[in-house]
Amino acid sequence: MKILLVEDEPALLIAMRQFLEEDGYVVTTAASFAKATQALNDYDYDCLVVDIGLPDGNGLNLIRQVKGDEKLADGIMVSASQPGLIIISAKDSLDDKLLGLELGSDDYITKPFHLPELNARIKSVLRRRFFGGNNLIRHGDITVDPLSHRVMVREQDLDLTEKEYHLLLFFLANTNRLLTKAAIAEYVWGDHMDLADSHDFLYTHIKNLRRKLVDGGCPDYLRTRYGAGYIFTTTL
Amino acid sequence: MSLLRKTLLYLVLVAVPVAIGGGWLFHALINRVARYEIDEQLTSDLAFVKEQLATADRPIPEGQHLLDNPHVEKVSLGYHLDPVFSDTLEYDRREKQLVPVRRLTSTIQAGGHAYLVVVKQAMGEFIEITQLLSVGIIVGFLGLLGVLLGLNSWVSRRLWQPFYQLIDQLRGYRLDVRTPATFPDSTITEFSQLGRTLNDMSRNLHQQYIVQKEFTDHAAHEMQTPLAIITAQLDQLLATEPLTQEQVGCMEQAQGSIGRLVHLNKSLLLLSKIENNQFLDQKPVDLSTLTEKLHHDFSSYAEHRQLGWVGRIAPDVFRPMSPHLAEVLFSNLIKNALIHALPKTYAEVTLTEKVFKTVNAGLSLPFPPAQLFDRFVKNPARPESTGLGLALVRQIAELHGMTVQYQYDELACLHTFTVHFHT
Repeated sequence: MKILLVEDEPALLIAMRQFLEEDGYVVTTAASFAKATQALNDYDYDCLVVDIGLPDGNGLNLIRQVKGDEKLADGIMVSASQPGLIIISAKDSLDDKLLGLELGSDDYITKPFHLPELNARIKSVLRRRFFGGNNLIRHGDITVDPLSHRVMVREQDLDLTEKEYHLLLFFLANTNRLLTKAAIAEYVWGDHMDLADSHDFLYTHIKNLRRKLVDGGCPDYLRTRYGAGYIFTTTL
Repeated sequence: MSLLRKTLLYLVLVAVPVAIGGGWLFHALINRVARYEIDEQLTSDLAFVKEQLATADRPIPEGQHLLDNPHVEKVSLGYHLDPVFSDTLEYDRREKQLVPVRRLTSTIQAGGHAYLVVVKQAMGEFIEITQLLSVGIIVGFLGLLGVLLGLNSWVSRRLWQPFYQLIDQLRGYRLDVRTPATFPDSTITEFSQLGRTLNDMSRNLHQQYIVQKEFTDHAAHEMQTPLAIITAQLDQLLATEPLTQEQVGCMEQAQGSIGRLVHLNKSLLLLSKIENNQFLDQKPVDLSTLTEKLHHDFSSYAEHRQLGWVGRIAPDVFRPMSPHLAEVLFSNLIKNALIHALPKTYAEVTLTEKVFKTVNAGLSLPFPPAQLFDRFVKNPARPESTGLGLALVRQIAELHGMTVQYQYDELACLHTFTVHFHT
């Protein structure tokens, strides 16, 4: 899967690139509007991750450009060539979000974000784009059907709460990586993260999820590390 | 009272005394002139009589004797009387009433005789004419005044039309529209000037508004990007091996602080955006659905804190609000109730057509209730709080014309926050 990252902040660009490459993506980076346009002309990508606040142009225009090309090519090309689009914005502004989604972006993420969250969103967008959301996520004994929100362990349905389901998806999108408590909490609770005892709260949910998975008969994939966070492993 | 009415009122207030005083003066003047003319006439009549007495044997025509005007009678030669005017009343046979009469009495020496001559002139007609004239003048003046007032009001209305138009436009003035408002030009210099000045002002305000808006946006950008880098790099650092427990502890604390900073930054930006009136996109928001959703979203947290979490939510409550701010307002109040509820007690949220209310059991406030909605006022026991949550609540409520009320029931230890919608 080829991804184009457009972000003007080099440190963030490098961190994102490194993270995504570890996940097996082929990553191209562009630090400006001009370079991004160039990169778009040179290759096709499966997913675009665009910071809309670029020094030499609005990232939204880049999206317009991509969508414009698509419209021109609509008659000839199959829709599978449409890349997934994720907007990164430093502005937590509804207008930008709505405009971005209106222009055809698939998701919107506000700075600052944890890289595993970006990763999970890219995976979700790619899944929707290329499999109509229809492909099952498999991990060892666990199978998740993202369309119907069904989770199965060894062909047996597992009854998870909404939060537990999201937790599981987040883990599955970022296997074999350390997921810090802050990153998990941010992904699952978003804006409501300023709750007082969020870490205890998180612990309760993870404990419940873990218990349900183990009770359902699958091995305990979850590892804790130094108390810093959790790793969902593929190796037992 | 409008400028137009005020003007007309003053005009009337001045014009009525002028009409009355002027009428009286005019009447006096006419009266004087008439009298003077009558006297002149009488004098000339007397001269005529004198001339006749001097030249003719039969000095007085027959017909005039009948009317006894002039009245001529012989007197002894030595008798002399200077001409004297006097006013009397005489009985008018025809009109059958007393009428005012002007008399000139004098003695005349002619042909070796002395006569006492009295010439008279009835004044009734003159007085009538004088009165008619005066009344006519007053009525004419008042009529003219009426016409003038009408004309003035019509002209003023026409003249002030552009002014009212400007006021109408100003009333509907909004800063957040994409293009600055333009005010119409006028053929009247003053209004044209006003329009131009307003246009300049509008352009300046718009410019400043955009600058301010961009500033907040940029401030967000500039803050968020470094925070994003720190977040990503701390995550990476935490993933490296090996780490000591101590190092992990430090990094976690750093992460926690960044989390607070992020939240603080977001809240401050939101506050400044509200103050800059950048949330004017109000539309009817389904508060019932929103409250249901929030109640549901927070139920796992309530469960985690072992709270009885009650929701009394009336269906189909719609209020015109900014959707984003509505969510911030209500989620902040719910969060507030759930965080501060004592463990294993209870909290509830109520929504009716008129109010949104949260209740939680908890200890009394560690600071005066008056400071509750101030910025950066927080419970010392919860240093991780931004202290902006309730400040945002008040700001958002005020923006939408709602009021927030706080009550503490000492006996039951219940905190109640009520948002009144004022429908």
